[in-house]
Amino acid sequence: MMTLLDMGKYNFFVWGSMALFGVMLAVDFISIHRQRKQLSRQIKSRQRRQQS
Amino acid sequence: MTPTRKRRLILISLVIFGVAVATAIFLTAFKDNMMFFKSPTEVSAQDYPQNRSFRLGGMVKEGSLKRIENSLKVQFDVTDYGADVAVEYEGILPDLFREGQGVVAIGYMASDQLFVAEEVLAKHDENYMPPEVADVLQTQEQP
Amino acid sequence: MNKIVKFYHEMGSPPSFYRITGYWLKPFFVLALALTVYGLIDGLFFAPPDYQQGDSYRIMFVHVPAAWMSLFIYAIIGVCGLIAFVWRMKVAEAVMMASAPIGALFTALTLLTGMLWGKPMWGTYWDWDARMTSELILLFLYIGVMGIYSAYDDDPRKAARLAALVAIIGLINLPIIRYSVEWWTSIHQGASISLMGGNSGIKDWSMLRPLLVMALATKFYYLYSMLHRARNYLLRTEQNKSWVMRQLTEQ
Repeated sequence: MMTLLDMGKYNFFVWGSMALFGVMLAVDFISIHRQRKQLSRQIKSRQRRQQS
Repeated sequence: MTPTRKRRLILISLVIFGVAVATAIFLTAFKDNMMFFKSPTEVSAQDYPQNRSFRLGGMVKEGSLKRIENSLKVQFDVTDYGADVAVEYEGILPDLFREGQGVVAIGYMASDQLFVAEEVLAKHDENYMPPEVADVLQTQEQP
Repeated sequence: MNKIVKFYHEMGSPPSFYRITGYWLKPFFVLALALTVYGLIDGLFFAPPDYQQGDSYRIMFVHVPAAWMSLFIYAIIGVCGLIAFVWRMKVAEAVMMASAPIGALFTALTLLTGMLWGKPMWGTYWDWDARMTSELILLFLYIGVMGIYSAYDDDPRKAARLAALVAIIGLINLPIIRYSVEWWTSIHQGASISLMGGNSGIKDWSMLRPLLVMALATKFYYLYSMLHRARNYLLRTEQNKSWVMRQLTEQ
């Protein structure tokens, strides 16, 4: 398993790139869902205020 | 299409056209300044900036790489198959540096014949293949 | 034919765009995730090393798809910007503004993975050659489109039109990026794969396959991310309309 993961002297560069790819897409994914939650809370509270 | 939409479409087309023409003129006018490196042919025709460092690009000539004794310096020729320029460099060469491969050297002309490099970058081409395939190709080329 | 016309009209109206794309999100995400996992395992462990660059060339499997997406998404932003500017279509505005963050992200990813590839191979993280400089300008264009939009936060429709104008003008950068390695001398090599066919720099199928799989995976992730943001955008800008309330109470 370790030999499979070994990219020789390019370990840092190859795995660094893969990690960047994963982290940045994960950040995008999380930010979408956070935005969505915030938005629906905001709209609902506004509508409640208008009804009362 | 309504007249307002047509007007907007014409307006935006004019804007795009104007920007495209302006960019094209700009890029043509400054073509030389945007070149990343000078070729050995240009350098041997004395067409290079004096008194400041510039980039020299080309191929490392086959069989030209030699170490200078009692120092860490290396010397090699950069060629574009039209002219050669001798380059001297002290330091670690990049992994991809080898004879017959592309190279970009940053430095200055110490004399009319010698380019002293402060930094050497390797350039690779757009071809990728497994080592076995490369071996086969090479044996085919040299029967 | 009628079906296509009907579909076109439905996608143009915010409530039905919202309803229809709701069904697409999960399949797109699942496809993106599955293809990414398959593509990366294939590229990292099964593809053979390169004859010149050894294992370091595997950075290509994230760098090249990200670079393709950075151009592809900007082209979509430009087209949507044109539609938004001329026809004032709300859905086009939503798609345009929803594409900008994910496009900026792919551009940043292209630059960063390019640096990580440049250091071991060329010998430098960064140099001001035409390809790298024009890609950096692309990142600034994405940031500019988002910045202009948020600067006019009192009128989102006017803000979208101004952002569209910037996006359309920025389209001129796309051919410059594409042909930068042909018009000027550069450290970056030419294109290995071109849509028009011609000579391919990657003939080995085991090297090409992970690249194409990753290209597909990033397209699906873009669709997922963009549609999600476009739906949010429509909810926010149409929050006084009755369909928004209906959507939110249904959940």
